[in-house]
Amino acid sequence: MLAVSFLKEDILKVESDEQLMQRVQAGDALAYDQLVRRHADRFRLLAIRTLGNTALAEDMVQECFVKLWTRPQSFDAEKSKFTTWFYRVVVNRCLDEKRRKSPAQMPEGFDKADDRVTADKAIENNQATAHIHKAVNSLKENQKLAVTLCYFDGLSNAEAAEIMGLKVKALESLLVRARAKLRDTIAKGRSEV
Amino acid sequence: MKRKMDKRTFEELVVRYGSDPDRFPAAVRVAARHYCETAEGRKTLGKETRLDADLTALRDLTPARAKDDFLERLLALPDTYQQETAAAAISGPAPLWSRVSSMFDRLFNVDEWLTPYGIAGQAAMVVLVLTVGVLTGLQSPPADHQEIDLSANLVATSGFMLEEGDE
Repeated sequence: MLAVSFLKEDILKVESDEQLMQRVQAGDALAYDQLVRRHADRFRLLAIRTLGNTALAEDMVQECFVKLWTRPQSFDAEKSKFTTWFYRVVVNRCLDEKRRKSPAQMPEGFDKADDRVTADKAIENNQATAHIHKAVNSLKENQKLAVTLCYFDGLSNAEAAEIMGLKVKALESLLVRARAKLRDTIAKGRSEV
Repeated sequence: MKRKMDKRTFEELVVRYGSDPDRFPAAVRVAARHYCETAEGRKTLGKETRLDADLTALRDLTPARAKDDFLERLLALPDTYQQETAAAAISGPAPLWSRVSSMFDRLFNVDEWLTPYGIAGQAAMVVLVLTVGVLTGLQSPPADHQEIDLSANLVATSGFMLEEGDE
């Protein structure tokens, strides 16, 4: 009975992300520590899925956590949940990086080999999922992001819509089109195999 | 009333609630089940279910746990970077607009009117207005006494009205 009541107290003591952010805003490094342990994996995965390169994704997530620590005042608990705000920070950073590194901006003939192990390569090596991965990569940027947030990160349509700055209806239309394209591309991939 | 279900509506519901019609809202569940019994419905449901399975397979393939060195890098950030606190942000000179705004806030704050600073401010304002008035008057002296005799025209008008009354 005593153990149960202690357990209950411990559960009640768990602070929300927003409370931890309030403490980070007051300069509390321990609160930052807790936020990192709670969310680092999730945002690392999101960045890997968006960029397809583990090393680059980790650098981008690190930059975002630097921003979280150095400028915590940019988070406003009255405007959004912590996760929604930080998803937006990470997604925007990754998309900026992707645009910056897009092949169109590379000098002609640029084809430098990247010897780092990339998440893309690991997945491509898996025969069973190679064509699914290819199909997801063939989606338009906003369709791919919607699929990533809703199906890989398990966010609700409302949360994903808020992160992408869309209305829920618009996000759902995006998902309907993305799913139709995925079904066709995956089916074609299977028939070719 | 039973709602009619078509491929497009079914796909929209899948996006909202997943590919299991049992998880659709009660209002559309029966129509969805009927649709899934048709040839087209069976085909659509099969494709949607398969796509969900494919996406799950792809999701599960990405390593979920980060390596410890990544986590350590993140945890060490507070030792490397200084926080830009709110106090530091306002320690520099305040922007012009916020200074003007705060001046107006104090000016219209009734509580401050009777403080020594408030009374001194009001006295300074009266002196300023009087000085400006006197200086303006000195710069353009009147040409003759009629310009400062405010009743001159009034008498003339009254006379005119009397003349009209006489006729």
